[in-house]
Amino acid sequence: MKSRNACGFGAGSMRVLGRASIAAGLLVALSTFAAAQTVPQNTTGRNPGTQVPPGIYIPDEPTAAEQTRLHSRTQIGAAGISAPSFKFGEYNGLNKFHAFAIGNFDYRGGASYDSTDAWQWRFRGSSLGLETRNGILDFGKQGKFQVRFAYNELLANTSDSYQTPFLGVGSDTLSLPSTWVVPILPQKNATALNYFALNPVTAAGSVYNSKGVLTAPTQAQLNAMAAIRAADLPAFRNVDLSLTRKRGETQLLFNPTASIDIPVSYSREHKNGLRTIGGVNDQNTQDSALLPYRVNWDTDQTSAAVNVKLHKLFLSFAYYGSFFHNNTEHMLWADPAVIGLTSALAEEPSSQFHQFTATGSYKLSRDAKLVVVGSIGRGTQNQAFINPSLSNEGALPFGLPRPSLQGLVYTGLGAGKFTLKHGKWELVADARFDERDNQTPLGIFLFQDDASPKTGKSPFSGLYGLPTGLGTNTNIYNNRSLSKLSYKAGGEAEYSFSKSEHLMLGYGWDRADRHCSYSWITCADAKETNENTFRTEWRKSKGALTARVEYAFSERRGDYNENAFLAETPMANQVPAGGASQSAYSYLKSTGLTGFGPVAGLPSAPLTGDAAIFTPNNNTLAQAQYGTRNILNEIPGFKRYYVADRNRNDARTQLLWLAKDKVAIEGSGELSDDDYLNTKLGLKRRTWWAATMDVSYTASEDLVADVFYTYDNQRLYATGDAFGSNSTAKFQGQAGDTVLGGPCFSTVAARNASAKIDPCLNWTHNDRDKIDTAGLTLRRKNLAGGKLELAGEAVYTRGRTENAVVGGSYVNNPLALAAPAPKLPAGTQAIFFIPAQNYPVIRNDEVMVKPSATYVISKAASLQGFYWFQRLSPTDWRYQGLQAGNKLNFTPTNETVPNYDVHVGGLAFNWAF
Amino acid sequence: MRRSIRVIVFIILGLVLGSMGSRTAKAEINRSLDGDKKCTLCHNEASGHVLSIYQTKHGVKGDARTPGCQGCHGESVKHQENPSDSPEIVFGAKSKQLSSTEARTSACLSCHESSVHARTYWSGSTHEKQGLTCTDCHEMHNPEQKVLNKLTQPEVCFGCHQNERAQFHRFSRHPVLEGKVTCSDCHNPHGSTGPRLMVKNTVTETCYTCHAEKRGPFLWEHAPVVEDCTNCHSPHGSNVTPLLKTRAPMLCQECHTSDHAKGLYSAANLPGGPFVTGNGTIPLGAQSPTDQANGRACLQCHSQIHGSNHPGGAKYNR
Repeated sequence: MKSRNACGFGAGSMRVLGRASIAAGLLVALSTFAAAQTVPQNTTGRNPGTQVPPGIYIPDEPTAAEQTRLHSRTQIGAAGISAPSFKFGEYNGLNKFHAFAIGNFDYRGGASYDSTDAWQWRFRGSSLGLETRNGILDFGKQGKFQVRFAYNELLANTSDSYQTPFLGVGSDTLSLPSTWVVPILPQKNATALNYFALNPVTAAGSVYNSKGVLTAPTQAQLNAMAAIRAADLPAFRNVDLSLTRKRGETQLLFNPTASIDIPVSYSREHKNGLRTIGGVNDQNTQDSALLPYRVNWDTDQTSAAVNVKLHKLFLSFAYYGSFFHNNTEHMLWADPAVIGLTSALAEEPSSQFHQFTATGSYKLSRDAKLVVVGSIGRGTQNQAFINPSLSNEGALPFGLPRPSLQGLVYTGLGAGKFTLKHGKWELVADARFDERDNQTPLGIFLFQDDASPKTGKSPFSGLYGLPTGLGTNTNIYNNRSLSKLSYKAGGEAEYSFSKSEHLMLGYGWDRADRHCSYSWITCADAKETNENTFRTEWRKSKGALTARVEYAFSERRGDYNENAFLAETPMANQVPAGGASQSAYSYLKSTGLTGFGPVAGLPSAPLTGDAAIFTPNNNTLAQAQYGTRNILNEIPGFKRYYVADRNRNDARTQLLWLAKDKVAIEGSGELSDDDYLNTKLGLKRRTWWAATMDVSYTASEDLVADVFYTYDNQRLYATGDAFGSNSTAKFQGQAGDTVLGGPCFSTVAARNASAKIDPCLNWTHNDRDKIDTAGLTLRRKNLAGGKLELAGEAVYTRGRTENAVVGGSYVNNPLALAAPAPKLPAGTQAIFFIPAQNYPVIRNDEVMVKPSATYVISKAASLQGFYWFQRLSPTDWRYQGLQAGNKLNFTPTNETVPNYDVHVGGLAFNWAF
Repeated sequence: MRRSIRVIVFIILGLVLGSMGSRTAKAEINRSLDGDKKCTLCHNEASGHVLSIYQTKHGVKGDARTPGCQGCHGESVKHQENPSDSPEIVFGAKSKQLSSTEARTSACLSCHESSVHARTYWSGSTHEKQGLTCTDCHEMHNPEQKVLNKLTQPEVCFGCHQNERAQFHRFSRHPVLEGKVTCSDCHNPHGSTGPRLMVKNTVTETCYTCHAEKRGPFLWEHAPVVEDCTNCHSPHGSNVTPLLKTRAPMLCQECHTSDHAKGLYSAANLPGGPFVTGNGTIPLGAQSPTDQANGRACLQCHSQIHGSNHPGGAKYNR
């Protein structure tokens, strides 16, 4: 008995092509009444011999006719799921508790192989009753034309435990129930939103009063909390979050002559559903909500090409177009903290992208080839900006500089590759440039932070073409048109010592130039980076052993610019009113400072002149003096990792040992180490390694087993500085409350004088992922007189994410209060130093077991039973803060971490004809 | 941009001119069934599934391009005269007479390098340099090739890419095991113009084929997003949803250390986070818990992290 992989169908010998359409009709009809699903497939196997999904059956001694004609197959059956689980059904559609039908078909037909006709057709469909259904119809005359119509649905479940109080879910306007009471519990914080009011513990809410006494809430406060809870908690209701993608596609391939191909394709995809998105109402209090966000997107993609084949020459001219259309332009939502206030979010803008590509390859000789590619693209986005009057949050009091972005991005690619084989040598030389040239025009955009009405008067108000009335907290920004041009060149030379032993040496150079069109200052964190990579590989086969070792070292260096962030703030290049003699940028250049200002504590004498204006008390660049509320100042030594200087070591090894005819053992390992050697703050090091052991055992044609284990370990090591602002404050609460906790300073005054350089505020992150994955596949054939086949698959995944934190932060003693509260007892810390604590480990343990059995009834028919058990047991601290009563400023969602035990069992009948 | 256009025009002209070389005559092979009979007389239905090639595109005799047995395995005159001699080109991986990598690849490229489904970028590509041949992934006699079926293609790729096999069993992943997204949706195993065998010229262009909403251009662009999606995402799988390298706020703090991104956030800032102070464990009011350490952390407010088109969205929060 031979087995092989198809689409989950049994195979047989009856030729009943005429019944195909009837069977298809019946099946489609069946599928409209009940969900259908493909019988689970093997996803773990390494050895092709073990990759056979259950139920694929071909007779032992097929005739020539059976081997040469086209087979059609149908699979029908029934199955059931033991429990509903959104996560289990995340992509497969089996998220509901129910019985479902199994229905798949694959019908083929057309001229026989020995005909002079090349007409062929094929019609396939699976999972027809689920939101994961798909179908493909192919037909054509091979060598002349081929046509494909395909339809595919994809489900992506996110959460079924999400709750929201917002009404209008699924629309672009979210409101709150008329009964909504702002969940502020005054004794906790009289002004800011505090969802503590939704705390289910009625007696909670004890606070230190102004006299420094821990007090339980009054009856009136308890009544207020109860009223809030009674009004708001019932408003929270479940909303399932899930997206569906429906995609239809047409592909045509014309072959007008033997030397010309013309492939054309068009697809339309509609993505619809709900997901969550964060929406902030108040930037000061960080009042925000995880909103139910409607996705209603259409994406059309089309391509066409002309491929010309002239013996040694291949030429291709191709077009690709992508048209994204968002059917919802913006979203409005009511502020849970301020009745009557509405905030707005601009959704992803509709856009287009067109690309032309020319490819040519020329065979210079039997062993030498040249390939060149050129590509140009044009992306546009010109969706109207959101109407400033749509929301009443006051974010855009000065209107808009223009109605839409007029976004324009050109992309370009030029690449060439030359390959040559000569004797024992194989040479590859390649060069490439690619470009993203953003030509979007700049504009100055004036806006207020969320819930931050204008205050004071900006030193740029009425100057440099700006309107009057700008506040000190008005953001004066221009957009940046991020552009990048990268060049790559390299070569490799491989020498073959023998047919089975090879050594390769290679070198690559990679340069990236980043800039912003029309920008007044270099906008890129690293205007230019250069990377040199040296690599080598050795591989050898000898007898039963095959070994491979690869190693690469690369060195990237760039000119990091800590003041690049100023590119977004054009007023940094203008002299502010109020006494400054120069612009903020000029001041930084003349002093050699970054936006962080001097790396120093309080100056010994009060600062004067520009220093007092731009970096008062030696603090960071004063925001109002360059028109921003966005504190982006960079600490010297901080570097963003994706452009920072880096030494990279990559290694990979693979060893395959065919121990005996029956046993193959394969071990492989990968290592990658990124050392950001000149980075003092930011990501300093990333190391990753993984190792796999894979053993397959083929006892006989009838028994094959495969076992694997993979261990994966990633570490990200980053450092930071939670620096404060230098000040002359000498106590916390009232005079005398001066004792400071922590190892760095003993008094509040000493700490405040050096707040910006306090070493106790340095911290490190050590983020580790450790993941074990083990799997087993087993197949036993020819049982019960050759009629029974057993197969099984099991996978266990154990994921651990550790976020270790070292450092600490200062927290005021809640008893250190201003008068009339009593002073703290002598020696009592007015400010505590709180050591950091590691986050709880994020755990994801998943077990999957899929045994199955196939019983052969006849050459045409077989019966297949399967069972599928899957368990997920995760823990994740992310969900703690999402619960009602969380004391945070964002609206709770009461989401819980998904976990499940799901059993699926079923029986399917396979029929081939 | 003009530079790009000039280079492209130059390349095309060069190639067209270069194509004016002479054609090399190639020995004609009898691709008909009569030609195949030289082989199928012996390699018949009793020889495994040799004949099932006639169910595949390579066996459609109505298409004059189909190769015939000798088109792939060579004329093999010696083998015909003496069956104990091996055919000129042997593809069977377990055969002791397995032909060299070059010979096996050349047999396929004789048509597929520049004629049928041209694999223009194969020469010098990652897989070619690793010593792979077409038949390491393709089973030419199998009408249901695993590598051409979305549901089963990963099994073929996982044969070598074993770590990726494990990654696709993680908590957050693309729907590859369900056959909804497959390896070749993102990677072209035959070589490409993009890095890491991406099907498009860049990583971002490849991602935009499914995630076009993130393409923009946006009014406020986020530099690492424009550069490369994999700066933050692990596309094959992650322990942290959605396919993130690590959890926010730690992820964001790798690049941001100002404003509230500079702060130290730890388990002490979770609800019920136990502060141990000099006076014992006491509640610390507004200091515990902290918004930036909880829920979606930074993304709770800076939710338009892939770019914002709101005129006031410079901080990716609108």
